[in-house]
Amino acid sequence: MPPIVFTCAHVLIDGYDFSQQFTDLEVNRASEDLDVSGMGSNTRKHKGGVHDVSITGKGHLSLESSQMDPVIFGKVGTDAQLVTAFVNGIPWVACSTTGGYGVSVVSLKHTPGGSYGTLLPFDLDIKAQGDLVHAVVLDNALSTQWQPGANNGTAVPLSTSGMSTGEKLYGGFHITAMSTALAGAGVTAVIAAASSSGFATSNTRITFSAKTCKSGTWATPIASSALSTDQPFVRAVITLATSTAVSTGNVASGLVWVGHQ
Amino acid sequence: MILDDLCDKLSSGSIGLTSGTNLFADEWPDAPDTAAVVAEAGGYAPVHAMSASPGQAVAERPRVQVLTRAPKYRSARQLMHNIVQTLDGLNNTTINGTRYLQIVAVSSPTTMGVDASGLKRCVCNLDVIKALHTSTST
Repeated sequence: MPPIVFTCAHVLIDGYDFSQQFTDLEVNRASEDLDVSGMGSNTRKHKGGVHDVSITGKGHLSLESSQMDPVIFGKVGTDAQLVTAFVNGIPWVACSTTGGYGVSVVSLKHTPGGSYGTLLPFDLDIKAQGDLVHAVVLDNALSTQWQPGANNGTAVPLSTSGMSTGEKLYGGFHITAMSTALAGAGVTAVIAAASSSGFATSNTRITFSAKTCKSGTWATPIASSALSTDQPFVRAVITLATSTAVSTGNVASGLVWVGHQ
Repeated sequence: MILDDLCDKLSSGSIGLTSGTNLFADEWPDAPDTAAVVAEAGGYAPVHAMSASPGQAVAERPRVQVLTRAPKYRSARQLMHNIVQTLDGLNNTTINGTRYLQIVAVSSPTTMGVDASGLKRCVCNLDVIKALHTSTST
């Protein structure tokens, strides 16, 4: 792939898409460096240890309601925030190419302020509370919203060879906007798996509980022993509760991703 | 456009300037002798953030040049002083619906010699940080 001009990063933090307030974004994944050198060796030997993940960002601070400052200010120190970062744009249709990184985090530092004459900057530092997963987008409704009823995402071949022992299935669900009429019954999502892209028969692998407001959910990972190796296709089904109160025009925006490793 | 905005700001500044009378946007009429002009003068690249579409810069950073003239240098210099005092350091001000985040003089005013009519001239450049204008203006 040719060099990429870094302009198209997306950052979803729970129920918020703050992409256009960021100017810098880094997803840092590293492992501890363990020294396993012993006597008799002329060369020091290293071994990878426990992984450590952080996401750092900088940008232009917005003080307005539901923008960067008030939201992040309230999230500092709060456990289990879902962050999904796409460093080169979000695939606009579901595809098996991993485009993002999903992780459950705690926000540890939010530093607004800077020098006179600059556009008021912020500095953000968040740390992982679990695995960092390559996120495959199953359904992206950040611009084209989900409609009342069931919204079936595109079937994506997540793996052609099944999952290995020790691998897990991960999922994340962001709701970044929803009509107020949906606040009662909420918006639900499932990630289902099937043996073919037609999804004639399928099994639900991950169920996200109903969301009644903007938020993000990191699903409890599913162990490979609970999955079927002959069901490589996955898709998301997002359901906006249908009732007399929820009719056409009541919509929701968000994104569902899946990952396995 | 930015020149109209700045002319309006100066016209309302109680410094003896009136747009179209002795204050002009990017043109030097023959009269009056004592007058000021505001002109666009380039500037810096607009400021962008992640994942924005074309036309969605966070802010733009144009530079404007203000020129004054008068029969005597002291008069031209005083007029320039009044203009710079009005614009330099202006923060977070909305003019004609467009938000101006900051206006800062690049330097103190300086002489620009004498024009063809023998009028003494002063010049000063100002850097502007502003929100984008709407699609109907620039």
